[in-house]
Amino acid sequence: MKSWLHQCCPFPHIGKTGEVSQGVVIELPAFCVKKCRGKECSSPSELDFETLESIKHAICPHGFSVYAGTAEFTKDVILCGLIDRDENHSCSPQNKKRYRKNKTYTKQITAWFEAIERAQSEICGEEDTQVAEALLIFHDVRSAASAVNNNITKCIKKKVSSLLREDLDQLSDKNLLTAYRSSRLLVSQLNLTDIIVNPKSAAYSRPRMIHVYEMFDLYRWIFQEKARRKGLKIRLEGSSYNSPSLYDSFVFIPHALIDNAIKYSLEDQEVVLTVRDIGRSGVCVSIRSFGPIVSESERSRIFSRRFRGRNAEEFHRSGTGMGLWVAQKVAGAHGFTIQYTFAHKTTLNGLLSGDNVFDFEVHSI
Amino acid sequence: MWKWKRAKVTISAMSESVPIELARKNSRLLLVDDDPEALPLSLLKDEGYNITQWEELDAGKIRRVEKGEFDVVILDIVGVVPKNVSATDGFGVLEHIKRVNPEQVVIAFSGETFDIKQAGFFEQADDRLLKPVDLVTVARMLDEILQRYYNLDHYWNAVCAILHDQGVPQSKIDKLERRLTKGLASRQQLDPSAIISSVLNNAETAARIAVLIVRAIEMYTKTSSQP
Repeated sequence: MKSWLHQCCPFPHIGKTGEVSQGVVIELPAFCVKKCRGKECSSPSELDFETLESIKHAICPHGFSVYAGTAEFTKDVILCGLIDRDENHSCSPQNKKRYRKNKTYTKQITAWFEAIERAQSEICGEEDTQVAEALLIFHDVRSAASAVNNNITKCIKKKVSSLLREDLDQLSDKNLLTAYRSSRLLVSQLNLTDIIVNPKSAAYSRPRMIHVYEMFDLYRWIFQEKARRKGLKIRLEGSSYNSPSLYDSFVFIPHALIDNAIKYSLEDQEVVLTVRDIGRSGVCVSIRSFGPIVSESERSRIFSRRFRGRNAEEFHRSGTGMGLWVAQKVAGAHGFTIQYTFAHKTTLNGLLSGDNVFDFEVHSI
Repeated sequence: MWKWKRAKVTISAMSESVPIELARKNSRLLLVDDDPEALPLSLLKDEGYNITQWEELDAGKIRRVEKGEFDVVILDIVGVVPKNVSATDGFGVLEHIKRVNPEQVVIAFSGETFDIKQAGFFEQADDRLLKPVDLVTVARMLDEILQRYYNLDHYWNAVCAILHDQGVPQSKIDKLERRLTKGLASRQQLDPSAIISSVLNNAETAARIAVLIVRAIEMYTKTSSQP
């Protein structure tokens, strides 16, 4: 299937696979098709761009204008084979005359990018409405999840004196304990789906004092069963006494990051969570796991919606590419960002692997 | 010549953090939700919470909320009002309560956070509870909500806000505060309507304040550690 860019872009552009394509209205100059060997426009990193309004402009070695702009939810879009009337003083008079149909104004290009962004935003809005309608069925799922959780909790309360973890771990009925953990995971997972459709809901509650260390310890405990099935150990390091004031949605960060670490860890490894205090109210957190790493070229998009790295897809077929996006959205609501780094790169079974580290610092809102 | 002056006793100075067991027992929580499993009610009652559930609201029940019978109302957005009464359901109820009794603490309790059109429900509410929610999490959240709202300071700040809104001079507010602190400290029977009538003529607003003062006195009497 042809890409949307190929079907609706009026200007010559760089297609999805990196080839130079004709525009729907303006054709590529014959020079670009027949004589240009370098095709520098398809490797924008080799060009010297300057910023014009919301887009970037560069001139290729043959004197043609190349524009780069970003439309949300898509990669950078590169338009080429054009001649900017105001900014391009390098194009030869012969080419200017021969390719006069390819002359453009910066404003014209900017307007096109803005129109694309508006269209995408409308499409996404429509998509979100449809998803929200589909999620209405979750009303019944939520009720069922509440009922399951309530009943398991009642069973547990008959057998232990409190729901403190040290008491729960003494429970002789391990199946009941697993059911309890699973029901808490289910409840958390259902709440997390709300952020996917409405990221603003991350800031719906009043900020509360949240003991970050305890929160990570709780999710370490909840995910224990899932980790055990892969032969993984989850270890919590550090010490922390601070309880910054945060939204309830903060819990989705340990949920999403620990889930991600388990999913993309090689078997029989260790997931290490480190929580330490910064000053009187801040907390610094890192989550380290060993598995396929995200390549350099994909790193900037790792927190994008529905993005899954090539290595990740090869390693784990299933996955929605939403977990990290949700975590970053929740982090954004709290005014911080989650960073990704990797270390000890090595190749295992044909996959680039290493220590994947996600870290962040959180302070009271 | 130095003169000894009696230290001013303020409501703020008398306000103390209510032990959570007492707050759970003496505060009045109302859950309005058509789903009987929405909260683990029996477990919460076992933990000491004084919580009532109504599956649906009618005019009589709404009046009870308007009168400030409950300290905290936990309100769902869907299925809490019969369709022939209101088309706007829980959101309409919230707007109504906040218009008639703005001091009423209302917690949004709905799983419909994904619905962008309902954002106003969560924005107008005083706080929000996740839904679904497990016992440990809901107890932690409710305790935090009670510690924030179930104390003398909260009631007095609400009274002051109304009086400032009505343009009552600070000297009269100070006088009211003195009478209240004196009454609370000596555990005298206070007549809120009589106290308020000395600073405010507007009967409707005076009634709103009286409800708050009654709640504050009741709360203080039941939970204060001071003799």
